[in-house]
Amino acid sequence: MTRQALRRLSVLTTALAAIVALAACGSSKSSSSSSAAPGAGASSSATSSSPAPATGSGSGGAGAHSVTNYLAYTGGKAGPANPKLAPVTIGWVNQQGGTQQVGPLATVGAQTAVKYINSQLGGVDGHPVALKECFIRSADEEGTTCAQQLLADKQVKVIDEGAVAIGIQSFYSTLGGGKPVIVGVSVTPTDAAEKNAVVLFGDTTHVLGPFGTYAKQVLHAKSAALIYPNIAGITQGAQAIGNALKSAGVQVKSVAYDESQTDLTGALTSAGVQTADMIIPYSDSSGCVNLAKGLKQLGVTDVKKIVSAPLCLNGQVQAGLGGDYPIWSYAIASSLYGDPTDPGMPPYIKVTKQLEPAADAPDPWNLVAFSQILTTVKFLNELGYNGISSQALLAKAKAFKGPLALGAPSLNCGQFPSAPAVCNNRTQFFAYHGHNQFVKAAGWLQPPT
Amino acid sequence: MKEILLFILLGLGPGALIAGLALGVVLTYRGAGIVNLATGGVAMLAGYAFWALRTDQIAGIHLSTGPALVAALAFVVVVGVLIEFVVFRPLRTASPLAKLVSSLGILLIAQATVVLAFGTTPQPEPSVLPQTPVKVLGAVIPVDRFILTGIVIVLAAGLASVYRWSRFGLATRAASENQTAAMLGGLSPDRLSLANTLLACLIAGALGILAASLTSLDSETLPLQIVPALAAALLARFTSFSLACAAGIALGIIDSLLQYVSSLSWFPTSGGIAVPGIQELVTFLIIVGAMYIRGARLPGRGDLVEQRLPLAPRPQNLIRTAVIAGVICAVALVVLPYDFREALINTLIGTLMALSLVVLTGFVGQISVVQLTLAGVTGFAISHFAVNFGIGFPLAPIIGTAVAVLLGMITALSALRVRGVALAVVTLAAAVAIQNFGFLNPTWGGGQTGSPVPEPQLLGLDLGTNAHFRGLDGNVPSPIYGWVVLAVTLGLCLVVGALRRGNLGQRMLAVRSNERAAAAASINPRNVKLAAFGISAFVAGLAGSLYAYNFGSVSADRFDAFTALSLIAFAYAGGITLISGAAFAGLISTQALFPYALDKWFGLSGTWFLLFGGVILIVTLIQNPEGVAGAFYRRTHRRPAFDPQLPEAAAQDPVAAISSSPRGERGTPVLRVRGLSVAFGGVHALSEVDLEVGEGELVGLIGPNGAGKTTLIDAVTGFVSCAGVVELDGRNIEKLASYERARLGCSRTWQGTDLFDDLDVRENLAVAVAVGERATAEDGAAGALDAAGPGPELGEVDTTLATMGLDPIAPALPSELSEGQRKLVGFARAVVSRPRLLCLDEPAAGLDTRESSALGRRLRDLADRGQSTLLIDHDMGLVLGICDRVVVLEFGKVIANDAPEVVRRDPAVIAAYLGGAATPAQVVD
Repeated sequence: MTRQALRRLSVLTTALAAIVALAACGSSKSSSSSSAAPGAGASSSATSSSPAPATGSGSGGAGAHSVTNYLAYTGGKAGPANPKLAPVTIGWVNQQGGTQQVGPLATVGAQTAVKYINSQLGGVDGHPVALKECFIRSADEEGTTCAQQLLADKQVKVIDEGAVAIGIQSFYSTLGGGKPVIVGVSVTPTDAAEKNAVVLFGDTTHVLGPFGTYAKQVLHAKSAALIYPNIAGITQGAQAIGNALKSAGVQVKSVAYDESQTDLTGALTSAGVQTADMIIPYSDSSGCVNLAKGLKQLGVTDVKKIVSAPLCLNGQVQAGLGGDYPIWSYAIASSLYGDPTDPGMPPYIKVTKQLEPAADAPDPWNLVAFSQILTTVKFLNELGYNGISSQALLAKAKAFKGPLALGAPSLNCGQFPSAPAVCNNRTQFFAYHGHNQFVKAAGWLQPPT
Repeated sequence: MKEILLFILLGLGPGALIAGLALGVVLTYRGAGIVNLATGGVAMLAGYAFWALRTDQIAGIHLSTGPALVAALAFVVVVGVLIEFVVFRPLRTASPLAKLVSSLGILLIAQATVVLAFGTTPQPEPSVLPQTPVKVLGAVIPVDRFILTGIVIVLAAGLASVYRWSRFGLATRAASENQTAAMLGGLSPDRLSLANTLLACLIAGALGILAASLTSLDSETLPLQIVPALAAALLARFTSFSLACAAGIALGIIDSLLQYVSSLSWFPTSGGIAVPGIQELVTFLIIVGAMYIRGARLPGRGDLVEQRLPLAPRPQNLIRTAVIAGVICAVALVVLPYDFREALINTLIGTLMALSLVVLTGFVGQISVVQLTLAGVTGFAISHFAVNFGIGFPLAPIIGTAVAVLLGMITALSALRVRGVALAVVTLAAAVAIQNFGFLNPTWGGGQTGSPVPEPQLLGLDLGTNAHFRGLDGNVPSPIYGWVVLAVTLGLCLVVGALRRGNLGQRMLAVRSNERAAAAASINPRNVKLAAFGISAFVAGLAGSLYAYNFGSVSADRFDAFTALSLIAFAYAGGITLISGAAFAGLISTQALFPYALDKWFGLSGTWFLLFGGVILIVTLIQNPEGVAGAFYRRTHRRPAFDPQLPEAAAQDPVAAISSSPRGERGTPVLRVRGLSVAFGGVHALSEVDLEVGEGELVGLIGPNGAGKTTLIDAVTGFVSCAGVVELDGRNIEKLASYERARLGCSRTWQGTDLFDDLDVRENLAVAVAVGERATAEDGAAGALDAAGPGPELGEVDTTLATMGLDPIAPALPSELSEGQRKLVGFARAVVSRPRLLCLDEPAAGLDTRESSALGRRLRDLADRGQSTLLIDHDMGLVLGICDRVVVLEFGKVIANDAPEVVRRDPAVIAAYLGGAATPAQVVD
C-alpha cells in the first residue's frame, strides 16, 4: 500500500469517526430547509479526502435538492439564443478596478453564466442575454454614477450585484427602488435592508448565527475569542457572531482592530486566543493574511478551534500566505468547489471548464455570481420576454423558494423584518487541512434558538 | 500589572515600525525640508522588490535572502535618487505645502505602480528576521519584535550621533537652518539633501523588508503607517532622532495597551461593540497637548521663515464672471446628458470643497487636512437629524453646517499655537480621530456602511436629484438639484471674492505673510485665524450638505484622511489662493468633468487614473508652482505699472498731513518704562531698565550689538515677556497683547522690513490703518467683529502715500521694491495709523546717504509736530543729529540717558563702543 493510500485510509477513518460523533450528538439540523450564504469553497477539489457528509442530509451542497440540470433550472430551451432577437439586458455592478477589491472574479462568473445561457440554454425566450456592466472603483460618486447609468438604460429591467462595499449606499439611494437588485452574497448590511433587493445566498450577519450552534454543539466550547477589523460589513458580522455565541452560553472576548494595524499579536493576545476554546478570526480577505500570520506566530494552530468565514477562502489570501488558505475551519453557506459529496458541483465544474480559465472557477465569488445570473434568467424565463417588468421580476424573486443553484435547497426571502432582502440563515462547516483538503465538520446548522 | 507589562512588550513591534518610519520622515525633513508622506510608500516598494526577487516575479530571477536584501535596498536607493532629482530638487524653494503635496504625488505613483504590476492581492513577503516564539509573562511573543525594536533604537542612536558629531551631520543641520549661509560656507545643500533622502529611503526600505512578519505586503498597509509616523516625527519637532524613535515606540505601546483595555468588560461600548477610534482619539489628544504646550502664540524672533504660498491677487470682475459661469452651467445642466450632468454637479461640489481651502490655506496660510472631515460632519448630522429626529431640509443642513463651524473653531484652537506643516500633521491626526471615533461609530456616526439622507424638499417642492424635471434626456440627476448646487457654489464664490477684496481678506493675507508684523499693525492674528477657520468650515459644511444630498447617503470612506490629503493636493495644483483655482480643482475632483471624460472617452480610470493623477500633480507643481490657475492668471493679468524711481519725497512739508498737531503737552511722558527686565533662559537681555519718551519727543536708543535695543522695543510693543512696568499715556500695558498695544497707539517697524509680501503697498498701509483707526484695546477681545466693519480709511492711506512720496509705487508688491523703498513703506505703515508712540528699529539700515538724510528730516518734522518716537539705529550721525535725547544700552542696562551732545562725550559710552580708546568723534563716525 502506498503512503498516499495509507493517508486516504487514515482520513477516511477519521471522517467516519466524525460522522459517528456528530450523529451521536444529534444536534445538527437537517439540510432540508437550509440555503446558502457568503462565499463558497476552495480552489480545488476535496478529492483526496472524503468530506464528512452533512449531518442529517448525508451529502454536501443542497444534498438531494441540489440543482444538477441548469437547463431545467432556468427554464430555457437547449441550444443557442437567437442573435437576431433583441437582447435582454441585465445590469451588473461590481467593485473592481481600484485599489480595494472584494470579489473581482464575480464579474467572470457572471460573464461565464451569460455565455453559457446564450450558447446552450437558449437565452430568455430565445432572446440573447446581455450584461451592462458598471464598476465601482473607489468612491461613493461611482455608486451614484452606476445607478444613474442603469436607471437611464430602459433596456435594463433588473440589476445583479457582485461584491460591493464602497458606494453601495449611494447606489441604492440614487436607484431609489427604480429597479430590482439581485444580490448573491451581500458584504454590507446595506443590501439586506433594501426592500427592492433580494440576497440569495445570504449576508454577513444572518448566516453567521450558526457559529453559536457550532460552538455549543460541536466544539462544546465555553469560551471564545473573537477578533475582527473595524471595517464595513465585518463589524456587523462580528456582532452577529458575538450575539450568537452568547445566546449559546459561550463567554466571548471580542477585540476589534483598525484595518491599518500591522502586528496583530497584541490584539490576538488581548482576545485570549491562547486559552480560548474557540477562536474566530473574522475578516474580509484583506485582513485574513495578517490574522493567519499572527495566530501562527503565537503558536495557535488547532484547525478545529479556529473557525472563520469563507471570506478568507480567497485567491488573494491564498497568494498572501504563499499558496494556501489559512488552515482553519470555515462556515460556508454555499456549495464548496470540488466537494465530491455535492451533486450540484459537477455541472458547475463542467461548464466552467468549457468557458473560463481553470484558475477562476474555484473562486467563491465566481461561483456565486454564476448561480446568481442563472437564477435571474430563471425568473426572466418564467415571466416570458413580453412579461418582463421590474415589478414582476422583483415579485418573482421574492417568492422564490429554491432550490438555489449551488446554494440552498430552499429559500425564505423576507423572513427577517429588519433585513427584508435576506433569504437565508443556515450554514455548513468544513475543516480545512491544507492543500485543498476540506473535511465537513458539520452539516447545515441554524442559529441557536 | 502583569498584563500591562505584557501589552507593553506586545506594542514594541508595531512601535518599532512607526519609529523607523518616523526616522525616515525626520531625515527627509532635515535634508530636503520636506515632510515626506511617501515614506511608508518607499517601505512598501522595498518590500515588493524583496518579495519579487525572492520568488521569481521579475524575469525569473530568484535570489536568496542576502542578495535579495541587497538588491532591494539598491532598488530603493535608485528610487531615492529619482525622488530627489525629479521632485525634491526642483521644488527646493517651493512652499512647504507644495513640497508636502509633491510627496503625496510620489505616494500615489508608488501605490498605483505596485497595483498595476502586482495587483491588489497581498503578497507573502518572506521573513528575514527569526520568528522564534519567546515565552514572556505567560504569553508568547515572536522574537523578531524585540530584534526589530533593537535595530530601530540602535539606528536612532547612530543617527543622533552622526548628526551631532560628524561633519556631515553638522553640515546638514547648518543647511537646514539657513541654506544661503550654508552655501556661503562652502556646503552644498543639494548634496546634503541627496544624501539625507537616500539615507531616509534606505531606512524606510530596510523596515519594509525587516517588518515583513508583522505587516502585510500590499499597496495600503505600509503606506498608511505614515500617519502615526508623522505624529512621532512631529513630537520630535522633525529634528530629533531619539525623540522620534521614543515617540514612535511609545505610540505603538499606547495602541497595544488601549487594545488590551478595549477587551475588558468595563470598556464603553457602542452598538454592542467597543467604542471604535479610541486609539486614534488618544493619539490626537497627545499630539495636540504636546504641541499646545510647546507652541507659541506668535512665532519668535528669528524663527525660520517658511517660503510663502503663491500670490493671492484681488479678484476682478467677480459679478460678470459669476453671471457668465452661472448662465453656462445652468443651461448645461439641462442640455447635457445625465452622466455629464452628474459630473458637472460633482465638479461644482468639488469646487466648493476646494474653496474652503482657498480661504483657510490660500488666504491665511493654515494647512488644514480636516476640512473634508468637517464636510463629513455636516453630512452625518443631516442624516441623523432626518432619520432620528425627523428634521429635514433646510433646517438639517443649517444645523449641520453650524456643527461643522463649531468643530472648525475648535480645530482652530490648535492653530493658534501650531503653524505650517506641524498644523497639517495635527489636523491630519484630527481627521483620523474624527473618522474613527465619530463617523465609524454606529451610534453617533454612520458605522461602516454609512447613513441614508432623504431628498431635500422645501414647501413641497423637491429640490433633490430625483426632482420631477429631468432635463432634456429625462434621467436623474435632476437639473433642479444641479441649479441648487450651482447657486450655492456661485454665491459662496462671490462671498469669498468679496472677502479677499475687503479688509478682513487683507488682514488674512497680512497674517499669512507675517504674524508678528500683523500683530504690530494692530491685527489680532488669533481672531483672524478663528474667523478664517469659521468661514472655511462654513463653506466645507455646505459642501458636505451638497455631497450628502447628491448621493442620498453619507459614508465614512468618502471623508477619510487620504481623500482629504488628495483634496489638498488637487486644490494646490489647481491654485489654492484663487477662486479660479478652486474651479480647476473642482474640475479634476472625483468623478468630476475631467476624470469622467477621461474614463468615458479614453478608458482612463481607477488605478491608471491614480498613476496619471500622481504624475500630473508633480509635473504641475514643478511647472506651475502657483497652480494651474495661478499660471493662467499670470499670463492673462498684467501687474499694474509703476515708476520704480521715487521722486524727492514731499520735501516741502513732508509730514504735515500725517501728524498735524501735538496731542498732548510737550514733555508729558507718552511712554514710561520702569524696572524693565527680560531674560532668555539664563541670559539677562535687559535688567531694570528705566526709560521715558515724552510727548513729541524723539529719543534715540543706541548701544553695541547685543546690548538689548531690539529686545527693549519688543518688550515695549509686546513681543517678548518682561518684568517691570510699561505705561503708555499713563496706562499699564505690560499685560496686553502686542496687537492691543498697537491699537492703543504703540506702533513699530522692524529690522527686517517685514512687509506683507502678499499685499501691495497701498494694502500694506490700508490693513494697518483700518484696524488702528477704529479699534482700541478695550474692544480687543471682540476684534474679530472688525471683519464686518467698513473698509480701510483710504483717505489716510492716500495722504500718507502722497506725503511720503510713495504714491508712484502704491500698486507695487513689496518684492518689486528696492530695500530702501521697502524701508520707507514699512515706516509709512507704522505712521499711517497716527500712533501715540512710534518705535523704529533701524529704519535707516539699507538706505543710502540721501535716503537716510531724507528719513532724518521726516522723523524730526514728525517729532516737531508732536509724534513721540523711540529710534534705534546704528547711523550715529542720524541719531545724534536729530534726536532730542539719547539713551545708551550696554549688556541690557542703561549707561547713559541725556542730550546727544552730552552722550557723545560720555566716557562710558565711548568705552562701550570702542573699549575706552575712542574719541568723541569716533563715536559719531
